[in-house]
Amino acid sequence: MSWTGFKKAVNRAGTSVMMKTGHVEKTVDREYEIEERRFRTMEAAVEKMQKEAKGYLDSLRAMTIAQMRIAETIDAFYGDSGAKDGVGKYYLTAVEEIDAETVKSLDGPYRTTVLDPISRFCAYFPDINDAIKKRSHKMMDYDAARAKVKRAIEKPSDDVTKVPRLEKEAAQAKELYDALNTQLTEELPQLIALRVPYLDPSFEALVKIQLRFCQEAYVRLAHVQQYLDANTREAYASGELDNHVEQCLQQMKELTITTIPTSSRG
Amino acid sequence: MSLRGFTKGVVRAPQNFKQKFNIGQTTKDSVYLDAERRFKELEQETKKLHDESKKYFDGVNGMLKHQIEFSKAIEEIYKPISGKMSDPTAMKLESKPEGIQACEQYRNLVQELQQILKPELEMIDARVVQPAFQLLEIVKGIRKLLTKRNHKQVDLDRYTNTYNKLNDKKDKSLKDEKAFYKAESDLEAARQEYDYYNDILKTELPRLFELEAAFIKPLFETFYYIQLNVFYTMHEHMQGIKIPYFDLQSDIEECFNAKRGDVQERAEAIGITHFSLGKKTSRLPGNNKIPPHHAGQQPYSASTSSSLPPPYSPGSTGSTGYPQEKGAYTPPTAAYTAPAAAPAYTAPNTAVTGSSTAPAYSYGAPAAAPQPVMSPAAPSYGYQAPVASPAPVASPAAPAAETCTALYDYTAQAEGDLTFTAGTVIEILQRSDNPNDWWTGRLNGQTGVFPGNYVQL
Repeated sequence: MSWTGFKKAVNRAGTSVMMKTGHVEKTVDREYEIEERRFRTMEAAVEKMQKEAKGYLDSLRAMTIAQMRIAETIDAFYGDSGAKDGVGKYYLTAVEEIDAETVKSLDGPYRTTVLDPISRFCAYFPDINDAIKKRSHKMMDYDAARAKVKRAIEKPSDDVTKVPRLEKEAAQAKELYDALNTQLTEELPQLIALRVPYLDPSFEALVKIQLRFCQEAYVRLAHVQQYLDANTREAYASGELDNHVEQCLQQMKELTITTIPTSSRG
Repeated sequence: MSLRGFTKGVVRAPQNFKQKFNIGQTTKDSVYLDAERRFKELEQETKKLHDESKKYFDGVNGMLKHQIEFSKAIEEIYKPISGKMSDPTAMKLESKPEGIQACEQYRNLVQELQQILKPELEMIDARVVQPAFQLLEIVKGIRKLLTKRNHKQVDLDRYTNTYNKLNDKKDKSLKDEKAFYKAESDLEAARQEYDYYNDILKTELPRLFELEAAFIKPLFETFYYIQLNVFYTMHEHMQGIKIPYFDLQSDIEECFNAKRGDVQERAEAIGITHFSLGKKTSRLPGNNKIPPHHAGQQPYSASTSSSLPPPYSPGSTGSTGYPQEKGAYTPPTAAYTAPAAAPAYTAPNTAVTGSSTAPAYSYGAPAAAPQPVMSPAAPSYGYQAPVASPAPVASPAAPAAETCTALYDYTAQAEGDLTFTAGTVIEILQRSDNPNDWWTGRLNGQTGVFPGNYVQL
């Protein structure tokens, strides 16, 4: 912080104490305050939107990557066990395609239509918050200057130039404050009004991207089905596959190498 | 580690060391080694399968959750934000009932989907993640056995070496003979133990691999069908989305751009979205004021007949923007129209005044600029001109010798400005390279600022 900035901060801290104790009157601008509250509501909503949009993409990626790793593992198992009916390979290819083509091809549009616009909108907030902070500082300066004038009038001093000088200062402070206050009061509603046209298209884009993803992923995955035995589907539906899995596990558990005690003596 | 385990560890340490550096004799069983290698792979793959199927499960869940949350967030955006409306034109855009409706429909859809998919996803857990976990447990147990077998091998090698050493020794003493017999029996015991574990593993590991293969096939098929079902359900459900609010046929990006139009430009034209930018540029030297007609950029040759500078015309600026300015100035194009249209400037004599105030205002954040910005802008707020603050004079640093000649007459519009007629020679105290800035100069002992484009160096 610069020296001037520091001096200002100290002065303002003093003013805010005096305000609380009632020595300095506080300017109240209801119209502005309403706008600021509305802005806060919008800020929270947009930031949540940003978070969720990002989260969706992350989950989608996590899912496809997990899917791909599973496919790799399964392929490794198949390769190792010598059961080369190739389904593992086809499956791997399918999920790789989902990752490489479907997800990657939707990644760009998702960024341009959903993530980027929302992030860009969010990027306005720090600036606006700066302005809001500055406004409150200027307001405090103005309040302090006005209080000084009041005191000087109440307690006339020998210096005749004091009152006009202080008045001048107060007028300057008021001007700074007014300019910023007016700007914020005028421009905040403008921005708030633009939020719907600004963000609305992203929603539709998001829905469409989801739709596209589901569609392509399904088609690609369904493709693998033809390489599977025709009756596996029934086996799956009837729970027979499950039983197979259970059986295998049971047999493994019955092996001497799994039942042999290892922690006792030896 | 138990004391017993620790003692064993100490006893085995020398042999482990020897084994590493290939000292002495080490038992090698190639069949076992191959089985162990395969087992290691199996171990890794099983772990991967377990972890990844869990991640998959979380991923699908997360996707649905984020969809719902997103729709909630955008609904917040569609809803009117409470508070008194100050701008009646903004009222219309305030809320978007169709949007809210679409949100609700969409959310219902996703929630429904979540409900439908819930059992499917639970099935991933029950049918894939759990079996994989059990397999992992089995594998862990076998891993322990493998470690044990390796220990036994170390023991065996240790005794073998001792035995060989004693056997090779000629002229055994009585003590040696005793030790020799002991080593013999130890070796026999170690060999039996080792053989037991080694044989079990050798016979049963292949069996395990077989079972594993048998296990993975139905597991994979189960996973595949669950996954297929998940995608199918999502696909069917999303396909059946009958929300008239969305135009689902058109291209994603095209439609997005069409719908969006110039809203980003409009939003960025609002001064406060670039508040700190205005603040930063206002701190640059010479940028304290915007020179009167930098916006218009009309050629001065046109005005040679009259010595007055070309009047400022808001119309031309609105369309041309500030082509010559650096990036910092690009946004105000639209913001610019606002002050130009503001009633504050209707005073008749403002041809010149307006030229200096309007740009200063359009600048984004007048209050952010140091005081001099306010002084020319003052009249527009019905503020008494004489009260205006003295403009700061940032002079001393510049070399004193440089002078310039005025091209046009200029009358001070605020305190701290210089007044001069065409042809006057002004001593430059401080200037920037940009003639569109305000420079500081001295004339007749008076120091003040003047627009750089009014003079010739």
